[in-house]
Amino acid sequence: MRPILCLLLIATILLWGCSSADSLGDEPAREVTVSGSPTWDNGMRELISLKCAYCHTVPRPDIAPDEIIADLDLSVYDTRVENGEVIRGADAIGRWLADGILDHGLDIYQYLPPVTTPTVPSYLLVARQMPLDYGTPVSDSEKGLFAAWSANGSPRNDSTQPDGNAELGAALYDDYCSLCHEDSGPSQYDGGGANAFIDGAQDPTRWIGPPIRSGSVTVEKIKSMWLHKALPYLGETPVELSTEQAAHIRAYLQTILP
Amino acid sequence: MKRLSCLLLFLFPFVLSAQTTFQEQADRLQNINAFLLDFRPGTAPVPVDKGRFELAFELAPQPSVNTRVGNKDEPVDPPSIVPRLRARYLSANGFLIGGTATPGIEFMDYKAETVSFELGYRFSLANLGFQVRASYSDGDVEGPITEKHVKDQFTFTNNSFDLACAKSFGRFHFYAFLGYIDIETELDIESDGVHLTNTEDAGYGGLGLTWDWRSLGFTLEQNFTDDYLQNVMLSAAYRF
Repeated sequence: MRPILCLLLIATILLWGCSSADSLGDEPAREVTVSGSPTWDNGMRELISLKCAYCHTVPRPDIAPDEIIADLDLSVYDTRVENGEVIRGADAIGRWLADGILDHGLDIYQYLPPVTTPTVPSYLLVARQMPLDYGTPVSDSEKGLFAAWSANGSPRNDSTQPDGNAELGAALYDDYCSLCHEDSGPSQYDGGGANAFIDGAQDPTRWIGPPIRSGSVTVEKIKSMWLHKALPYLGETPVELSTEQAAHIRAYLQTILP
Repeated sequence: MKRLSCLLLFLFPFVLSAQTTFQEQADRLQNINAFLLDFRPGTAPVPVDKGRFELAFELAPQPSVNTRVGNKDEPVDPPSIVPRLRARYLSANGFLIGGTATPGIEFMDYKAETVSFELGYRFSLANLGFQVRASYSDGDVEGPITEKHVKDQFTFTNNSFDLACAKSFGRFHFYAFLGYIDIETELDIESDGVHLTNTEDAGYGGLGLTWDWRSLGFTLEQNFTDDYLQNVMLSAAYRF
């Protein structure tokens, strides 16, 4: 009996050595490449779906962490109103990309009115680096695509932006945008658009924001910001800005930004 | 060829290239763990002349698993060998029924509760022993799967069906089997509330050798599941 048992044991050890499990753990991450200028219709939809939208959809999927921004749906491009709530789309993430959320966490305290911060959940004040460590990594070339897309105003496609009337845009801006962006006029733009926003220390009830990037002002972005930032905080029912109105505001901004 | 490349580039300006996503990695890890806990034949399918019980002690050495998901190495550190007690009844007319259970014992920070059943039929044909068998397993493993010092929970449900064939040479019985498995798994991650679900089906097969000695039977079984898992099982059975 002993020799046979020994043989079985030796065979077990040998076979154990041959035991293996390919968990895909050493496979490189899937990567999206884009030919030409990245737009939502040219590659960014695929990239964002692959690297972001598995968690960032509305309603929140099971795979998403508990503490996730509840109003961000990156499976679609357009910011929208749903049951009276504003749901941000991929047209709203250019600022986070520009601020480096793919490389480090973001302290978004600076974007909030100081008097309201105590009521805001802490996880909304510190955005974690994306994607999370267990998410599909973003390659350097993909970061380049995100950066280029963000710098161009996160465009839907490469069609020309519609023309607008700067005078009409100034009126809209004064009525609805200047709450955060201060009153219109070149003097507010620090001689060159370095910072389009008021200083929160001057008025702690106001939102504080990062500088407007002159090359990043698109009709899509203005419409997204309008829904997300302007009307909800004016206490009004969110109503979409028309493309024509957004074009007017864009035309006005072009007259005051470098 | 160049023209074709240009055409493809025009039609598909973005290209999905390369390899894997974290979802595929997470699903694969769940699959592997469910497959390793499956209820495989475990002995040569030799028909018996009269009814008998078998009590088997199985040892399943665990293969090394790369637990990287995305940029994170999951700190899973399961035991390198999983033991299991198994009971089986073989009737004289060929039917077999068996099962095993793990009663929630905590070991190395992990607590596992599993139960498995099998139902089958053995018969002889042309000096060969045959067995058709269906099995069901489910259970959960609680412990630090994604972070140290947390209690994540992995649950699985396996349904398997296999056909086995044995050829005897005296007290040695060589056997082979082919089967199909369907699994459902879930992973609840305590730290941030993530809930992963996964379903998968796969083919499996294996080769084994059982050696009878008096009332004992010793078996070595090599399992292959899909194209990404190979594992060994060793068992010692007492028959009465």
